[in-house]
Amino acid sequence: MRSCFLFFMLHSVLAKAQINSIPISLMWGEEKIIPEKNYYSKNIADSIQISELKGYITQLRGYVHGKAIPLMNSCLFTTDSAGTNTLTWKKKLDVDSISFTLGVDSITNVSGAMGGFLDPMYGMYWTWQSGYIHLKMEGRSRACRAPGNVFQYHLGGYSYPYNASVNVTLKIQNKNPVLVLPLDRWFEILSFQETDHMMSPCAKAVQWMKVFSEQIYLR
Amino acid sequence: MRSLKKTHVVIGGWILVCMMSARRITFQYPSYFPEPVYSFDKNLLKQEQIQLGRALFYDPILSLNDSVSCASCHNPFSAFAHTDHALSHGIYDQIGTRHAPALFNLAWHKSFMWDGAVNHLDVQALAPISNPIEMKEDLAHVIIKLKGSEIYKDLFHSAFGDTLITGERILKSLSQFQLTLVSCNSKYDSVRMKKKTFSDQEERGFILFQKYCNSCHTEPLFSTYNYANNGLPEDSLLKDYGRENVTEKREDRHSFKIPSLRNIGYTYPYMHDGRFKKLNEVLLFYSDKKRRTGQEDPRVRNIPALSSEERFDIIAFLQTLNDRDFVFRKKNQFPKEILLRGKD
Repeated sequence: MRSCFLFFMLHSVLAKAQINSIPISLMWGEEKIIPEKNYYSKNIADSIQISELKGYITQLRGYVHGKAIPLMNSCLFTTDSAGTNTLTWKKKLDVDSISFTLGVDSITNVSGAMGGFLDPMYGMYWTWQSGYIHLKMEGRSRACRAPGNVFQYHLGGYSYPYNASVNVTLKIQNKNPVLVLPLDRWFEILSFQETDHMMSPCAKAVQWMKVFSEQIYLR
Repeated sequence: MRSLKKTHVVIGGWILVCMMSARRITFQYPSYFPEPVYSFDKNLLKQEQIQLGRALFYDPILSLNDSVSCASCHNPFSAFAHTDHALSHGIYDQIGTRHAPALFNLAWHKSFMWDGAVNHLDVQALAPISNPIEMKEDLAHVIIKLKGSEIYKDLFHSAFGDTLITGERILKSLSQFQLTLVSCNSKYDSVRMKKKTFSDQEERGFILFQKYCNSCHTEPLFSTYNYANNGLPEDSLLKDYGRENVTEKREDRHSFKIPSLRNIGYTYPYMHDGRFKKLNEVLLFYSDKKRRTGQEDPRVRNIPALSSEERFDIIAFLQTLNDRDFVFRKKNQFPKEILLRGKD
């Protein structure tokens, strides 16, 4: 009897996830991000309000028995209702792990006007110089010395040496995975004193995107 | 009964093929032109979509206060350039930092703007639409305005089969209209096709052109559409670094996109900042080393001091590149039958 019970428990734990969606959670610690709400950052030693957070997850692939299966082309995660905060695909699959690009790849960046979530009408395309904004973060903090205490980070760039999009691979640990983007950890990395705005491809964008991507996890 | 049903299917299928054929347009160009760079397979030309793009091109609805259209700086009678203005002006009469380039033969361009900041025709329109000096608008707001227009509901429906208005559809339709702006009917083209001959002066000018100008302004497009520093001194107020603004490479400073010389008689003034009003001024600049920075491309450095006869011979040849048919082509002009519908 005990052996049956143990077998059942082991099977449940080791059972692969049959899923066709993964929600995306934009978090500050244990809290979901609400625009214009105050969040305290230890690194900045002051509170922060996020007014806009948008970003691209593209080329989502699932790995089933080691084989890569394309799941979803592009998704725009946002703090408002304009985007979608769920990665979805048609068929339920036993997915061991996923990989995706945080941002938009170089080939898409030189392919002209795209549709769906890549449509430039979503305000995630640099109009003065071709290229997608991979991640846009805007808000306010008294610690930010820019006019109106406003910080604006538009992280983009697709061509060498400022190709800022990053590939991310994550193992699925349970049956109902959630993709967490932890903004509190991102704000442990950046510094308003160093820069309070970013509007062009640059080395700092490449560096931040890499570090941000390393903070993303599946729970 | 069976044969009647079969007949219906055949007729129905034939009508469908005709309809599809009538809507699709094949991109046409002379056999001596190179293959276009633009990927038409991602934006198949369709008559209704071209008409939509044409309406958008001429409609100031793309600007914040509905006062500035693409045609405000790209006038069809100037080969879609902005004549009489060294620097183009936009919304609220604000003056920009460059001269709006002529629009034709865009399917052969690898990049856009004087500094190549835009890598694809389909996204080029975003730049002037959002520029606070040009149209000062936002694509999302343009969509809201278009959704409120019965004319555009009809145009989008004709072009796409439904009334959905998206940024992608707007931009690709603008591209489609602009792609149809093909200029290839100048006297030079007639000579090339052995339908006409140059005058003696034009012939002398052509020989000089091939010797000193053709390496950058290469036939038959009369540009390589690459970037070059022609030794033009920097304007001390504009401080325009050109291509370096995009590549951040010091060696690209003061390099600008080589413009086509087609329709040159219609597209004055000349250079990225319109500083030369007349062609003779341009040729005087090129034939006098003292007027240049010394940093110019070697191909420019090798141009000798041209005599006045030589300069006028070259100008005579350059005038054979004007395409009157293109400039006065009705189907490129303001679509009054669309935009002024019901306003008699």
